[in-house]
Amino acid sequence: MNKFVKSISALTAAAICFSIAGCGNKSAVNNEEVKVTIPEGYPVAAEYTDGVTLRIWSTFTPTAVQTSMNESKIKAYLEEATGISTVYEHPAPGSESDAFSLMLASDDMPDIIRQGGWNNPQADEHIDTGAITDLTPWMEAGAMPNLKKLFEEHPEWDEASKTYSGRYFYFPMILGDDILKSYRIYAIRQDILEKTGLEAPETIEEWETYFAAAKEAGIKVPLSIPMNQWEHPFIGAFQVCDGFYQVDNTVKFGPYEEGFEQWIRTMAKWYANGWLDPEFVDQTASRVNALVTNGDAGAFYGSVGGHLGTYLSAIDPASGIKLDAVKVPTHKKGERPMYNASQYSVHSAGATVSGTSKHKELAMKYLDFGYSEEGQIMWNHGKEGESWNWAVYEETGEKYPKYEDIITSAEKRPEGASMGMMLGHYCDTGNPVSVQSKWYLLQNNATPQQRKALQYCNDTDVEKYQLPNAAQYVPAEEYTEINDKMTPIFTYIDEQVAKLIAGKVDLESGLEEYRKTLKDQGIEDVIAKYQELYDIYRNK
Amino acid sequence: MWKKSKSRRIFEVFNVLFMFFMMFIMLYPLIFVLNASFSDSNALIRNGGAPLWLPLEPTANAYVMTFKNPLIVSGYLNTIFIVIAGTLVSVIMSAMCAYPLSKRGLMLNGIITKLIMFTMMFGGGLIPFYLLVKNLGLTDNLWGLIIPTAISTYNMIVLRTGFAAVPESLSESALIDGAGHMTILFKIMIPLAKASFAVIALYYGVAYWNSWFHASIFLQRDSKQWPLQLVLRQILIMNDVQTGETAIDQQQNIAESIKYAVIVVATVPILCVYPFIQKYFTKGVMVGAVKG
Amino acid sequence: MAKQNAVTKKSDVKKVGYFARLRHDLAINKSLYLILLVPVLWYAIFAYGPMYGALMAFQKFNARLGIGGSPWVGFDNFVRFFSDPYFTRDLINTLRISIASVVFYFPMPIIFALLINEIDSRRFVKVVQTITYIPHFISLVVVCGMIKTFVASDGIITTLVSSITGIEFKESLLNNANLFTTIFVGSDIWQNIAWSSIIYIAAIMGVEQQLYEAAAIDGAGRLRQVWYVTLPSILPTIITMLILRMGSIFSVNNEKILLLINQLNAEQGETLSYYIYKKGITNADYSLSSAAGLFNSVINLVFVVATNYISKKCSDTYLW
Repeated sequence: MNKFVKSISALTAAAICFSIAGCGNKSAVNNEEVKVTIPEGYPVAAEYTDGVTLRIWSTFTPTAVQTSMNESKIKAYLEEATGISTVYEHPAPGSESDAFSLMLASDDMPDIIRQGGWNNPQADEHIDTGAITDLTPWMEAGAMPNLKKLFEEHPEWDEASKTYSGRYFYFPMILGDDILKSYRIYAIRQDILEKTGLEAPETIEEWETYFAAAKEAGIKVPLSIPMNQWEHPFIGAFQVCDGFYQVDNTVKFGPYEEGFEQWIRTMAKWYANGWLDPEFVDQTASRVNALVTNGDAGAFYGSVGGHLGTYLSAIDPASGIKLDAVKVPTHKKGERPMYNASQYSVHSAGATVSGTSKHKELAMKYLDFGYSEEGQIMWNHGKEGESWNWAVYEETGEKYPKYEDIITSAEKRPEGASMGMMLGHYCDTGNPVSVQSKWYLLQNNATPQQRKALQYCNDTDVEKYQLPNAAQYVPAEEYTEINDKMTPIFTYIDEQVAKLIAGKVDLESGLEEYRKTLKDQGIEDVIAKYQELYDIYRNK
Repeated sequence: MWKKSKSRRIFEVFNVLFMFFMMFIMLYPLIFVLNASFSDSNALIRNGGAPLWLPLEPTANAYVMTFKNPLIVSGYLNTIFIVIAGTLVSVIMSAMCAYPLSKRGLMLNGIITKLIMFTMMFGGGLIPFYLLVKNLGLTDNLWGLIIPTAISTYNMIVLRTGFAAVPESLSESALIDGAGHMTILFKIMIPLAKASFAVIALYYGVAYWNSWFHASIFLQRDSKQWPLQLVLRQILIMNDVQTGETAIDQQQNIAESIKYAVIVVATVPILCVYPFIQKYFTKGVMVGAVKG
Repeated sequence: MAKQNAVTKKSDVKKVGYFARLRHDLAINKSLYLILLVPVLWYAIFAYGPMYGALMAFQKFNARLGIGGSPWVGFDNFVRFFSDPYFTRDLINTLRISIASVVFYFPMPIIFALLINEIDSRRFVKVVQTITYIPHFISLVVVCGMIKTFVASDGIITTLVSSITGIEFKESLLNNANLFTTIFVGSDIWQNIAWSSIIYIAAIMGVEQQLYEAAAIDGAGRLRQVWYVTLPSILPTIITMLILRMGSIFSVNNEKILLLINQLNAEQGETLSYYIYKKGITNADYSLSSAAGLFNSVINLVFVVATNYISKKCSDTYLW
């Protein structure tokens, strides 16, 4: 009987907590009438801002220059320009995803939510559950004139910014120039080329010649590349793209194609010849960085800034190691490469207005500023005279906003602050709620090698084959099922590919098993599903 | 007293040698981290993970940068507060739980112990826990890092074991002499179970020192409230996740060595604590207190 | 030897008698129960309060809708969890690592504590202890980086193994799936042996000197003294620690797996929780992780109850 008593008391306590935790009693979604009262133009007059301070939740990593966006200059610039006052809240780095869910679960949502990955299947869900505001009626009523104008000028951006059900839901970061879309580059040792008299490799055969020569010249690891679910370098040269793509409106899955098997065979050959890094499954930054910076690697694939940029400054100038960018590998010499890992013009990063905000129109007005001409320059460069000034770009004679010394010069900057940190202080270039400008990228990657790399890595046909992100929108209900199917498929591909390349499994029989297993795991069903969605999209 | 035989002496020699070996292999991580923290960042990058017996291109730059970071100083203060307040609260709560549960006669002990053990294995997950803490007003507040996690059942059981080892007769004679249970708890149990208290105080203290996860979800408004380990974590992450477009600056690749300096700064203090606790693990706790 | 942690077994007296005795007990021991009330309230609020969260496992949980508003899906999440092609493999990996950890890791701190106890110099002991704790405090990220260096093809451990076994290793030991568990548990021992030994050292120090003297008089050498005096004295501590360990047996440190796993060793290195983490990367699937968590908890519960039961039958020490 006492067990009974104890359980009753425990349950009572739990019930008390249940109600303390207030599940179900969420702040009411603000279903105010859609009405545009604030006139166009900035700064917004005081009578309309009403002394309101907008709360913005955004992901952020503290740096030596600032511990939060509230300390940044760009926030002040934007407030001055728009006339709207703001305050930032940040989750701790590393826990962003949990923090986001907790924010949705709690009763305390801010006015604006900025984050880097508004995955579209959930966007519809977010609107339906009241987490974010459906922007469609507001767009029509004229609350976001600048963004609307951009969409009218670029219908492809317009298309890509909607949810599966066709609603506007966010203020996206838009990549304003092709050069911003890819930043994954191929680089080799210029000094080896000079020593051996070879030309920069473009086709697979030329690469193999290079590897052999590099090996001969004493390079321990002619090629260092990562391989994972999202990237398989060199794949474009086998006439295959990574992930899901389409050729002449037929949807394909890269790792299921014939060309991919050819790629595996080639990689296995490179591994066996000692050309491919024997530890390619271990991509720990310190190991990979050391390989390149102390001269043990002959070529690598990585990011233009985080890798190439870091290496260029970390290499001992006395060592004679010279890095240079090369073109994306192609199938036939002279042909434009088919594929390189690229982002979409309309990025998944952006800002939404929360469903419970009491200042929706004001929030939208604030965010819309970033799409005006003045706003674009401000988000990307800061304030004229303080963080940038007009200059002329030597190569093309174009006028562009050049960053001031306070950002670019190590001497003028506060000690311990890197250029990236200063950019984050005077501007918001990471994921701006605006059109990202190529001038930011070109100045941030200012070495000739990096600029060359950016040119090359974007010089591909990938746009012809990319599935428009609108066509990859899956209705929220079906997304879980697809994810459940794809996770084991990707796991299998990851592991089997590594085993085949490293020679742990017999190549030919392993490839047969590979194909068969993918089929058994239902890849064809998923491809058919995406084909179906793509067809619907095309026929809209 | 037993005689020291020859085989005993040989054993002792081997034992000491073994201990030296253990110390050597355990010391290495600290040696590496210390050397790395005094090394030039670019040299570190070139070095990869290779063993470091001396700093590369020695410089104290990383430490200068580290202490200039305002979050380090605030992190230290926050962590010190959390460790001291937290350990006190936790030890007292654990003692209040363990003492009655260690008494044989109490009838409800069985069911209460079972209910408590159940919580060791079953929980509700992050979201309900967060909502609870938030609704109690403990978010954005350092006490939110202490109260919701005040009792570790594991540690409480350790303490209960310690209490149970004290003979019943001692508290019985005290009761006869008119002492209340609180008095017994403080004047008799705590001194006699000193070793167990020291152990759980150490466990709690270290746990509070190392904690970062709850801080990361409860302290969202103000990074000045972050404890040291969360600051460290942020620095470690910042270094590993390099966004593709932005480069660490051309001339100042200092981040790499800062990573290690922060580790030293976040780890060395707690290492110094143990020697002070050690004296509580002394022998002969109860000789002569009660006959029989 | 005093009975430790013995709990009065409920008597078989009729219910009427039981309640009367309970009231009596509450009256006599009022102050004890009052002291106990505070922590019990804490458990009720902070441990049982959030427990309704386990219901997430039976819903298609949406953070905004909360537990009160999310749709119910019955056992769907469990079906998804169990029917995954990799479920069996990951289950076996998790079991393998957990059991290896208990079998190989668990005795080490005890042995270490016994060896420390044999050292005469107090100062030396202090030094040894302080230094051997160091790896426990170094962040896991750094420790795993070091592990990778040690087992690389030119790493110190690889070289050692090479010279002992004569096998030449052309790549990191970590690429060999069969060695994953060994490396995982072995590095655990290296990192935590000293720290885990603290409790045993404390227990050993509590053993009365007289018992050793009595054994010596009976002619026992040091080794027999350890076997017949020390070990039995700390046996209750050991058993308690073992039972407690069982309570988290199935929970393998996910962060460490994340740091050491790669495509070649995933065969034996991928645990259930790592797999769930992978699945949840693109969309925070709280329902699935809640279901997996429940599964995890049930397994832990089974192990703990079994161990407690066995130790009840075989010794005087048990937790409840």
